[in-house]
Formats: sequence, C-alpha cells, structure tokens
Amino acid sequence: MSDASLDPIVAQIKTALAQMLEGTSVESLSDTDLVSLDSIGRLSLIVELENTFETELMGDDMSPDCFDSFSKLAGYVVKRRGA
Amino acid sequence: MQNLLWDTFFATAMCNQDREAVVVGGRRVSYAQLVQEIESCAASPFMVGLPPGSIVGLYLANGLEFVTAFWALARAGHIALTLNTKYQEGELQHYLRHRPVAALIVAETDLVRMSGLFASEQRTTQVVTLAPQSEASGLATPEPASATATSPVLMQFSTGSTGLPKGVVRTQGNVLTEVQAARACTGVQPGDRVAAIVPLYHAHGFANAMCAALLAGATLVVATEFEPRAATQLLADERITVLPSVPFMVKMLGSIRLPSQPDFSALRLCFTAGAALPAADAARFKERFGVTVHQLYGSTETGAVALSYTPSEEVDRDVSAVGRPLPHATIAIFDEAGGLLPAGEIGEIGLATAAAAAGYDGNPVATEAAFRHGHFFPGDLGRLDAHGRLTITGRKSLFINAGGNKVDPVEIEEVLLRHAAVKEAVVLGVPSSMGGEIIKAVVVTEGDVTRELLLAHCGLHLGTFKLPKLIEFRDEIPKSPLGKVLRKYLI
Repeated sequence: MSDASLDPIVAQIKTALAQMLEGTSVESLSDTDLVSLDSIGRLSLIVELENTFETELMGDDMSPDCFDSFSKLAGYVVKRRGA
Repeated sequence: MQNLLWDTFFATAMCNQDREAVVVGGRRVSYAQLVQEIESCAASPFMVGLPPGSIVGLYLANGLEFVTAFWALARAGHIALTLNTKYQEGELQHYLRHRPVAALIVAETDLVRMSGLFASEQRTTQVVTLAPQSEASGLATPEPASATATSPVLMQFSTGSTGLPKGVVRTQGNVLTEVQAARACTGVQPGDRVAAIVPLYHAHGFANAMCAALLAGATLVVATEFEPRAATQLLADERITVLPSVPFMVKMLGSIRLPSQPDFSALRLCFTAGAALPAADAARFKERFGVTVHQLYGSTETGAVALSYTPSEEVDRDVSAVGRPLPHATIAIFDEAGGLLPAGEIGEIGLATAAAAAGYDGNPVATEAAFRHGHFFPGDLGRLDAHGRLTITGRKSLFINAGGNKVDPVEIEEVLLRHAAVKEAVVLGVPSSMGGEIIKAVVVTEGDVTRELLLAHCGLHLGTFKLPKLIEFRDEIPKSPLGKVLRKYLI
C-alpha cells in the first residue's frame, strides 16, 4: 500500500478531527502529526470517523497505538474498510 | 454489635441470596457469594491488622475488587478513600499525604508502581492487592465492627473547578440516607439491573450505581472501562434497566454506529450528573434507546440532592431542570445578604440534607466559606420554579469583579455562542495589574472569525464593561473526565 493511496483518507481524517475539535485548522495539521488525544477525545474521534467513513472502527486490534499519527490512523481505516 | 451500613447491606443480601449481585467480565456473583468474598477479604491478614477507624485508599478501576474492598472496609468500621485511577504519581502523593493512610489497595498490575510511591518516604502505608479467595489467610472472619450513623466510612476529594481539592468525609448515615432517598425516586428494586459504566471511585458511580444497586437487592452490571459500542452491547445483553451516566457518555451512546439495532427495551431510566446535559445529545439518546434522559444534581459533599424524575410523574417535561429535591433534602435560593429568595428569582443555591458531610476535612477556612446557615453552598446559581424544580443558571464563584462591576461570565458566554463561528466559549476573570479582574474569553471557533469581529458582535448585546479584554482562540477546551470545564487551565 503506497502512502499516496492514504492521502484522501488522511484528508478525511483531518477533517473529522477538525470537526470533532470544532475549530482546528485542517491546513495546520501535518500527515505525520501526532494525534494527541485523551480518552474522551479518542472516543469522540472514533465516533466522528465512523460516521465519516460509514464503518465500525473498533475491532479487537484497535488500540491507542493507531492514534499515533494521521498516517497510521489512515492505514488502519483502510485496513478496516478492506480497501 | 450494630454496623449500620453493613447490617443494611447484609440484610438485603440475605433476602436475595441467589440473585445476581455483581456481573463483571463474564463473572456472575450472587449475593451469597458476594458476602463470602467480602468476609474473606475481611479475614485477610492486612485487614485484620488495621487499627480501628483506619483510612484505606482504593486505587482500583471498576470491578469486583472495588466492590468487595469497599464493603469489607465498611464492615470493619474503616474509611475507604476512593481514588481516581487516572491520577498520576504526583497527584496520588498529594492525596495520600492529606491524612495518614494505613493501606492502599491496588490492582495486581499496579502493585510495583504503587509500592514505589512510598519507597523514598518514611511511611507506614501498606500497598496491597486483594488475594483471591483461594489464597485467603485461613484466619477466622472477625465479627463486623461497631459503626453507627455518625461513623465515617467514605473519603473523597472534591476538585471543583478552581482551587485545591478538599477532603470530604461522609458517614455511614450520610451514605445510607442519600441512597435511600434516591431510591424513593428511582424506584430501584430487586429485579432491576443497574449498569456501572461511570467510575465507581467517583461520588456519582459510588452512590448512584454501586450502593443504589446493592442496597436494593438489584444487580450491578459493571463495565471495567467505557467504550461506547461495548456499552450498548452490555445494555442490550444484560437487559439493563437503570443507567447512571454523564453527558459525554450519553452523547457517545447516542452517536456511535451500530451494525444493527440491539434490543434496549428493558431500559426504563437513564440519568446524568456532573455537567449540564445538552438537549441535542439527550434527543439522540432518546431516539435510539427510547427513554428520556434525566438530570441528577448533587455534589461530592452532599451526594445526590435532586433528580428530574419520579416514577409517578409524566416524564417528558422540562429536561433543562435538574428536578425537585429528593425526599431527604431541601433546596433554597439565597440572595447575597443571606436572605431567602422566592420562586423564579436567581440566587445562590443552598443545599440542606442529612446526607451532607459536616465540612472539609482539616480545612476550617474552606468549611466556613461553603457550609453556613445550615446549608452547603456548592457555588452554583439557580432558581426554583413554582413547582419546586431547580434549574442551574451559572456559577456564583465564577462571577468576575470587573472594575467593581460583578459580571456573570455565563451571560457573556451565551452572547459569544450566538455567533455562528463560535462552537465553545468559556469566560473567566484573570487578575489585573490594576486590581480586580479583567474579562477573558477562551473560544473554539470554526471558519474565519477575528477578535475584532467577536468584539463587535459582543458590543451589540453587552454593556462595554462586560466586553472581554482578552480573547484567546484554542483548539479545544480542557475538561475533566466528567466533562466539567477545567478553568484553572484557561487562566
């Protein structure tokens, strides 16, 4: 899987995060930025992402590690969607 | 020998011996088995060796260990200091230095780390885990200790939104009074299944989930941590009937995607505490779960004092109110001179209840400020309507002294929130080099908006002395696990 194939997903994740945080500038977020969230933020982002991608993200293998960066999270989303 | 709280629990357990008392992580523990677990814990060497009336810290997440440890301590006449398991070492040391703590009960996975807390100090605190029943000491179970309504049994810390946390000690009578009064409204009874998705170490989960279930002969179904989809599954699979919650959880439960619609038909009551409940979140929850979310009002100092629900009433009414006082409590609204205000007038809320602590432990100054005229003053502003229902309107302690003018930050927040680009707003006073305070607004915005535009908007609705002098744009507002705004991080 190439990094390029993740780009649209990364963009959507950034948008979802921006919506969740209500004010974050999407442009200011780098693909490799750490997604530093507490448990409330993490759960909120999961709900936002699920509604964005119309999929259920919480599998047995879902862990806070998936939230290290936008790229890593995008890879996980792609995997879950079977893309 | 009488032990008020233990005797009440034990009598309930004996009437419901075969009924499930606690369900957690696949384990189903009957009341008879739970009593055995508790008595086994009471017979463990460290428990037997504790001096009477010891303070024992519980650093335990939701689970059977928490339940067993608390009731074993109550049975032995000790005081359980319940600690937030998200506390880091530095915070824990602050709380554990407040008063001598004889022992700290921790999970197996925390034993080494927590033991290290005391390694560099001359402390006598034992750090222990609860041994499984099969590894118990074999010692004879001691008789329950004598404890009356005035015997302390619970210690928690009230964080509030500002200032240092203050120790709150409540007695066996306080706890029992609160739980029995709440039960008169919630109608929890044997056959009910109460979900504990909120932390048991917190006053809300402790009283309104754990004690509410186990002093009524109902079943306590424990989630070890909150994950929204797992929680919805728990609600359906375990046929949960009563759900104590907090607004954030209600939002998540109402929003999380579900592959199919589980059967939530057993659920009859959900209520939140800790923060105001947004109407949109309550509406989404009702659409999915079929029940109106109600609000419970209380504090660590008093326990629950009001609930916007009674089984005998029409339930679909004003959900912005936090309800009428529970049977054991009275709520009064005071003006600044300490006089009582009539219905409809906004003033400082005073709570009088036999379930309240007597004051802050070892802190006479804070006690004098908050416990007066026979009432506890949580620092909230509100009004009672003609039917005695309470609505919270703001926080008194957050009033800003701007050049001698007392300014209600809630009023400014409401104006800011009317601007389309403002998603969240918190207004507070910060010390001014000129004396008094200046008004600061912290906002979370969406789209293009500048400080100048926001000031122009405020100027349309507020007098000039109420206009924020500082406007800070942030990505998010820091909040506690229960959703309370942490103002101390905004100054």
